[in-house]
Amino acid sequence: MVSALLCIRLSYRKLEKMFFKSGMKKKIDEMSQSHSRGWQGVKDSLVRFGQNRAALVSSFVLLIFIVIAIFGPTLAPHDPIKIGIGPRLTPPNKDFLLGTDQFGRDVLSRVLYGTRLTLQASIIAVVVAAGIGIPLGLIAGYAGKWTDNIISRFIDILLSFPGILLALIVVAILGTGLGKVQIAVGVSLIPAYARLVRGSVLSAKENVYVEAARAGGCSTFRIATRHILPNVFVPLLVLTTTAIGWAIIIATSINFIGLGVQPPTPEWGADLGAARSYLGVAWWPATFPGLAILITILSINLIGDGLQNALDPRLKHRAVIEK
Amino acid sequence: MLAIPTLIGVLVASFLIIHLVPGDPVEVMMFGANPTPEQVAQMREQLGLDQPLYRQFGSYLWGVARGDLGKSIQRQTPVTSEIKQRIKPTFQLTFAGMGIAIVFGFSMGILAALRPNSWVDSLAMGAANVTVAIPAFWLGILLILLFALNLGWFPATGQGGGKRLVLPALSLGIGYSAIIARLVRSNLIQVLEKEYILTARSKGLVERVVLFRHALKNALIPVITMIGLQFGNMMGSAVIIEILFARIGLGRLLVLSILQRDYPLIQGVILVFGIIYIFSNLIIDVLYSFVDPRIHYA
Amino acid sequence: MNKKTVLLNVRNLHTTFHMMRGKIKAVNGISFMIERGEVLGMVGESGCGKSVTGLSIMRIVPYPGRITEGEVLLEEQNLLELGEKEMRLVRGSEIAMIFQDPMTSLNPVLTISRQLTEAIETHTDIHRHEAQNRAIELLKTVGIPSPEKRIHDYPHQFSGGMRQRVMIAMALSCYPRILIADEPTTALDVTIQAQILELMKEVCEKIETSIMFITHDLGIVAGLCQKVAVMYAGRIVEMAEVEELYSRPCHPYTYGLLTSTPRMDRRESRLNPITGLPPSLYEPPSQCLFASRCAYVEDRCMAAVPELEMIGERHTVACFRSNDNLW
Repeated sequence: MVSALLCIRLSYRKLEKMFFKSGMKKKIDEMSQSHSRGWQGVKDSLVRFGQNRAALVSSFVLLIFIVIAIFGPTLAPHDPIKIGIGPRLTPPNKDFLLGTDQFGRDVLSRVLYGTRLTLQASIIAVVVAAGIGIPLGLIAGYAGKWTDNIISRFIDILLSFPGILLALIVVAILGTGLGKVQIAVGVSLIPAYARLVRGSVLSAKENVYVEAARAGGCSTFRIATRHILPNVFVPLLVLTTTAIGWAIIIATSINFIGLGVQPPTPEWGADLGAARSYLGVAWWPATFPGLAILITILSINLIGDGLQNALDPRLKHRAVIEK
Repeated sequence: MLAIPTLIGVLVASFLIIHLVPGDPVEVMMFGANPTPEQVAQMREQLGLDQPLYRQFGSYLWGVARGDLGKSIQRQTPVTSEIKQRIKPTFQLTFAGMGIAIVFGFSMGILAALRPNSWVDSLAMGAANVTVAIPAFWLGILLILLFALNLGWFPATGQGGGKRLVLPALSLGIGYSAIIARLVRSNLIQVLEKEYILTARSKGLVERVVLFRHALKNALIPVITMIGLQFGNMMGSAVIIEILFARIGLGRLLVLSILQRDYPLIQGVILVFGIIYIFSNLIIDVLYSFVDPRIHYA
Repeated sequence: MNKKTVLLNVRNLHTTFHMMRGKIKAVNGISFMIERGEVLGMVGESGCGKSVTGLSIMRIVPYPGRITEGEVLLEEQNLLELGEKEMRLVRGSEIAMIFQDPMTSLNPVLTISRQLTEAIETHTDIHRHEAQNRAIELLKTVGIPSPEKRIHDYPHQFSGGMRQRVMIAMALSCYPRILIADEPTTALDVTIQAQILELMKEVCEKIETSIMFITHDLGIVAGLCQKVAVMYAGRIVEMAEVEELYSRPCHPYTYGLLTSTPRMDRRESRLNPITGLPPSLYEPPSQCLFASRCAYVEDRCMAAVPELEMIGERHTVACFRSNDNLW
């Protein structure tokens, strides 16, 4: 946004040499004012978001989870890894609020510790996906037909293997283990980001070149990045919330089948997988980690919906016209 | 058709799997058995990994064309036969799941769309929102706890159809039914506001006919595309469900082969999955042209 | 007026839309009659409630609209008292409706055949095959070439004018006694317009169907209708036979409409639009709703609602100053 302002000032100075000042100056002052309206738009969105009860509650819940993720170790009542702290497979009671698992470990402590792992894994995965997907999409949309074709084919191939399968392929190649799972999940999310960015670029290209002609003097590339990114920011944000949800599901699924973290690391999906064998006698180790997954994903989804409603499509339009 | 480059891409991708392994894939594969250098070299030759890349790809393609996907390292059996044995149960599970997703999804979606903004709508959509956030494998566990262990209505494990298919199919299908329900609802609401619905009513048609013959057929179009897309995802989820319910199938085979680093087997299963996915997309495209007469296929 | 020839008698019809912000009175106490074989024109600008009147008669007003008062008598039978099942028997077979944009009022995924035969099959005992023959005949009557081939086509395969002909065929397939036509030519080219109007006139005369022709185009009304009702803000402000209305308009709004049309036969330096905008229909006040735009407004116009009064043979007008010879 700042650079756009600069561009206009630059071109203004050039025109200043050719035309009489007062008329143009007034017009450009008006245009500068329309930029500050951009911040008003952000304030409006926040208000709208705040009016969405579900989104507010979910944000609060998510905040709690984040706090747990950061302070888990201090919050947990027992050591989640040490075997035999309590009697094996006891139902929830006052010492072990969520019961104990087959190794006598406190389920509650394991769930709390697992929060950090899950949130961390999903964020890293999304960062990987965005870090590779966004540039890919930018290049594909912006460069010529050939590059676009190649990249799109590549994305299509990635898409031939739906979510979990793609992650499994990466695990097959790189091996099992937490870090590899994070990369695997990230890879499976790349197509979504690449597609979104590419689409935005393609549609923004129409506007951008016209603007480029007008602003004259500014490099097209600069205008492109300054114009496209604001446009695609909102959908990217919404995609990210959905992507985090997907990342959590895929990551926990891979851990569930034992291809991710290794015991005794506490992780929601892995714990569920371990609890399978004891379903006949103990329901609690198989329920609470799953509940944690549900609440996390639900909160993120609701926040995502709230964001989408708050950041009205109409706002997107305004951004294009103003700049 | 666009499917051909993607098909080639899938072939290339599955071929490359073994070559993308960091380090020496043969040593990785034989890790547990502590092989001697001669054994490693022998394995490498057996797998053709000593040949130049293009030749390997050539023989790979040749093999695929003949239906020969190599031999499983661990089991010493042809990959193709391993896959053949397990394809049917996986399809069975996926289709059953899809069936459930469609039945539940459409019912909920239609009910919600007929009374928008009512308590029925809020309940249905609220349930859908929660359902979408439930991991399928956890749902399976819950279903096992409730229906198998507690109530004893359905068995928790086992192969084949009938009662043994119920819980796995439900675990798979319910999550996707929520996605379908949401889409059906929003599309149907939009369609019901269209003018041709007014025309249909003005002809004195029964409301049921207006709904099914006029409205749904139009609302169906984007939903069908979505179902096609979700079919692939569902196959992926079926992998997990098969493990949970100890069902024999392609998914379980894949996971076991990954654990064992049995690359020929891995590549074979991945290839099959990719091909199935491409075909399902093709079928959806064809189906699409049947539902929407405005589409013509050259 | 011979009582025997009155086909449709609408009395004091009120239709309200219950919106979040308040209630919109789209139809605010309308009364009129349609005789057998007559073509009634309903004229007014967008939003005056003419379309809603048509929908109300058919009782297909979309939610959140509801008919709140009045009677709609189809030959002594009050349609508003009928149960939904019985009303369905009326729709399509006794009263039929055609809409403005034939692209959106025909279902894009069903064949013309299906859309034509379903009305026939619903209202008669005729089965699919025979119904299809009837449909082909209908298409022939409305002037669609090679109907036997085209009957299996989809709406998007027809041009705009053809589509509207199909709509007409569809509406008339059960030989209804009244056809409500809601701006059927507005979305068509001017040249096609004339053809469609001619077609409607011809066919309806043949099968003795009365027409309620809703439009904003005064020119069409002049050529097609015998009687005209002018609507404004949910009320009828003037109703008369067509020649009478055009030669002796008595309501300022009607006069404004007639004089604002550019003339081909005289040179005019300026056009004469009616100044101002139509009023909001939320909780309309009890006064003449045209007062704010009226050139002849007086105090009494703001004090009460003017009722329709006879000022000539078959000529009613709702204006306090109708006898004042204002122009």
